Amino acid sequence: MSSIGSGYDLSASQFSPDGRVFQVEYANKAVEASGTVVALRCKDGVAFAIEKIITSRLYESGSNKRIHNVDKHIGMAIVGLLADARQLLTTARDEAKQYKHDYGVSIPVKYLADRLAMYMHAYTLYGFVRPFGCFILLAAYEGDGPQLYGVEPSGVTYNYFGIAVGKAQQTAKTEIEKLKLSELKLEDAVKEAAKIIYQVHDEVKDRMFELELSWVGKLNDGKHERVPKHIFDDAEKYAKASLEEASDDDDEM
Amino acid sequence: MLGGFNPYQPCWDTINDKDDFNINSSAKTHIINPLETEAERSIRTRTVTPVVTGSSVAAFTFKDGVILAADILGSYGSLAKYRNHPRIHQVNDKTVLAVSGDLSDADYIKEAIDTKVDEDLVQEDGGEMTPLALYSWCTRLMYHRRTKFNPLLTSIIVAGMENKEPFLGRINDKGSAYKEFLIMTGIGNHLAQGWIRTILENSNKLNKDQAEQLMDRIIKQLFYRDCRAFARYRVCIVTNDGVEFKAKEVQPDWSLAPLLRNTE
Repeated sequence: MSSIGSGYDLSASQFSPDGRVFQVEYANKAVEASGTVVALRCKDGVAFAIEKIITSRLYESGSNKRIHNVDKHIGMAIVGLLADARQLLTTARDEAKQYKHDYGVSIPVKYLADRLAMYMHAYTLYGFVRPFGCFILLAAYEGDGPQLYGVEPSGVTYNYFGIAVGKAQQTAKTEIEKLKLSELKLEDAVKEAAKIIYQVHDEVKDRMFELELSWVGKLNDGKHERVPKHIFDDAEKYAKASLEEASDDDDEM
Repeated sequence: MLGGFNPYQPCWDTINDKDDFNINSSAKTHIINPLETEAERSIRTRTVTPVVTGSSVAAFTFKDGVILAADILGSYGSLAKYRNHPRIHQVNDKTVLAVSGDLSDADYIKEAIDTKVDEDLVQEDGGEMTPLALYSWCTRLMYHRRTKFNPLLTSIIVAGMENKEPFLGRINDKGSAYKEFLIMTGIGNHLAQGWIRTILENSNKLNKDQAEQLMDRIIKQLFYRDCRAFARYRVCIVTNDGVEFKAKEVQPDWSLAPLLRNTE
């Protein structure tokens, strides 16, 4: 599927003859090479589950987290180049801070997504910079209910019910489509997201991985945070158990 | 190259336009405008007298913590204009801030601190603003403004538990700061500090209830003698268990008045 840019892919300020900006497409490839993120917007909240691939046993667990808080109520999940995303995180935090300073209330996630998208888009217009190689997911629980936004490297935003991005995005997407998200409660959504991550994780290519789970919803008053330890343990147990079930079924066949 | 210097635009608003320590945006670099020095400006545009003011704040440490009290009045000169404006502000669960003097400057300081606390919170590394850190930061801020001849006309009291020990400190509008077991700002400094200090020489023996009773006495005395005092006040107690606020009202006994020789 990848066509060679052959001269039209040297900078983001060039179009190819068939109207593609190759640099932005290459940025998407960087996103697809990263560990999977599954985000589910359910009835009363949003859950993030991240497959954080660990390349060495020598790394301290919990380093290089991929879920962050922008403001107390907005969570950001990162797929792609972590260093690029950190700059976007700083930008998002500044936007939220400025909005709060000007208007006295926390920034609605819709506006933050728009502003972040405009910022990322600006980097796709010039030849002396490169686009951001990361896909940003923003989650919040606001007055109108749970919100989940995704911003692509090209600067396009979408509002999602459920999304998977990264290595196993196709497989994870099929799994998400099996769920009835509008009826799911947040505690269950967290477990389902963890289960999908365990299912799509490639044991052969990436041996070790760390699961990161976070949630925001009615039950924690719209404050985005990592799930408490007991919920995390339950979700992991559920995920591992369903993996074993699936492999038992395979054995029987 | 000169970072935004425009010779066709008047420069006399440079002080009031700029914010200190990049409180509003961390991404912007600090630009110094060439005509910023005092010698090159001849028009003063800043306020030199406070407009809406808060009266005294009383605070002292006791055996297990710190207690503060301040009434909830914002005076517009001698008019008791804003009668529900609490002046003790909780920063986090081990630090509180009380203000007296100009209340709009106090709001500026409170907002800057709240922004700082939010910034620290999202880092998720357990780093928290301690009373000593806040005290140092406020000192730097007040002194910086004093140096620019544009002071924040408030007195700030920082109180809380530092390393599980009671902490109490005050910074005034000149950036002069000190830590003590008893601090009073405003006119309370003259009216009440003397006789309380005598009682409090043994303050580490007071428990929480005794401290509260003493504080009620202090506020009552201030209400009798301070012309800008108000009967409704808030008491704040900080201990290792957290921060507690209480709303109280002075029950004055004016029957004393005819007995005092100077009153008619």
